[in-house]
Amino acid sequence: MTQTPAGLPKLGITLFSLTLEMRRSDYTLEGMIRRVAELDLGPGLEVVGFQSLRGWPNVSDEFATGFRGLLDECELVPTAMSMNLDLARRRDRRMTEEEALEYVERQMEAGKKLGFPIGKSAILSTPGFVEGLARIAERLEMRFGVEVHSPESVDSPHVAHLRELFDAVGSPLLGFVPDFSASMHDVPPSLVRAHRESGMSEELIALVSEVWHSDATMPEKFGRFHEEAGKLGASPGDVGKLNMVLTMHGSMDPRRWAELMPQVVHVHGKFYGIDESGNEPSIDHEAIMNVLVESGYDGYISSEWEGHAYTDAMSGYEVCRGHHDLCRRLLLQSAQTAGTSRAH
Amino acid sequence: MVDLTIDGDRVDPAELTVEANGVTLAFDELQERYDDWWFTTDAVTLHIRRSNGRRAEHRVELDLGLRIPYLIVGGPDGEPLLASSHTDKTLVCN
Repeated sequence: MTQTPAGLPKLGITLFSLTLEMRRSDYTLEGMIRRVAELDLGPGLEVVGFQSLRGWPNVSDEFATGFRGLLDECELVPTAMSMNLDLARRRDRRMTEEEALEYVERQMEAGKKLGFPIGKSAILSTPGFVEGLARIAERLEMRFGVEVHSPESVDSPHVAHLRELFDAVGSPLLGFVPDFSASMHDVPPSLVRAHRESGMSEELIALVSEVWHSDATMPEKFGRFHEEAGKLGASPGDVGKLNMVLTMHGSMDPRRWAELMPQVVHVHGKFYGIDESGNEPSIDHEAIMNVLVESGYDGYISSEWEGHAYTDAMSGYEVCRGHHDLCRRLLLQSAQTAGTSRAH
Repeated sequence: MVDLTIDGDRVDPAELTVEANGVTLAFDELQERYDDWWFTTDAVTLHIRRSNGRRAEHRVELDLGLRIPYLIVGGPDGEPLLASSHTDKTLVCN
């Protein structure tokens, strides 16, 4: 496994990037992990428990031994276990705070058993839940991160509230997982292409792009988009797909991540495609890598390709290979620039 | 949520049974099985009773709505997000 130089962020992958490859008839988890290693997409490996592990969070001793042995053999390092807080698991009512804590605790224990030092999931933003979470993390000697994913951003009310709750508990084990989806400068070209190929009208695609780029609040954007899409005669299905464009792609200035870095436990390198020149056309990776390097973050970045949500025209393995090359090049460049400026 | 139409006739969900994880359940029984999971790579089989006639081909239209239990719309006491997909295929009986 190729390593980044000491002191810099480390690279890795979440198997979520390979969601399409999991649907192939010859898929096995072991085969996928071996392929990740062959393509040098580590050393970090993140797994979504419910997606990749049958029976999650029940993990037998035999499976855990085999899993840890496989990662060792492949020179891969378990990074974050991605968990779910299924508040609406029951139809008749939502989970109580106590049930939610127990639900997360079982998954943290299973992640620990598989060798993961970090768990991540959504949480209940109540003092009682956060205090309970801190106790679980301390008992298991693990860290826990809440993802900051579009439509949330560094200063959205939900994240500001969580920061207050974390400050009140004061546990260094609780923190955040920035997801690059919150800091984009354009709608992904791969998404525009996929919607165009599905037969969506050019006017509708142009409308959502224009609304996305407009200087307005999220509710204002939704309001304007719905009104004008209605006039264009958009189908409910198309409106639903384009709602996702507004929800899943945030337009925060990527330099704003700097404020959150002291509390960052893991990073999601969300991306949607790599162009011919090796760049991500909708996310300013240079600005983000500069923030990460300048903050001194030396944890993992999981490459997370989410283009599979709307296209099967690309291989998850190949795009992640391109993303690793991009991140490595920019990290080295950023470190060199930082070193030069320090020397002066 | 399942909305199934075969050769233009909508199937009442009460007629459906669902085979998953080695058991077969009536559609209405599913909501009690919140400790069971439909694993991401498994197939689920829907069973209905129909006389096959002599037709070899059947047009099958399926709207499948998945309630995403971790994405709640409208705060922690709200409803789960409904993710819908639609399939329309002509299948050949063997």
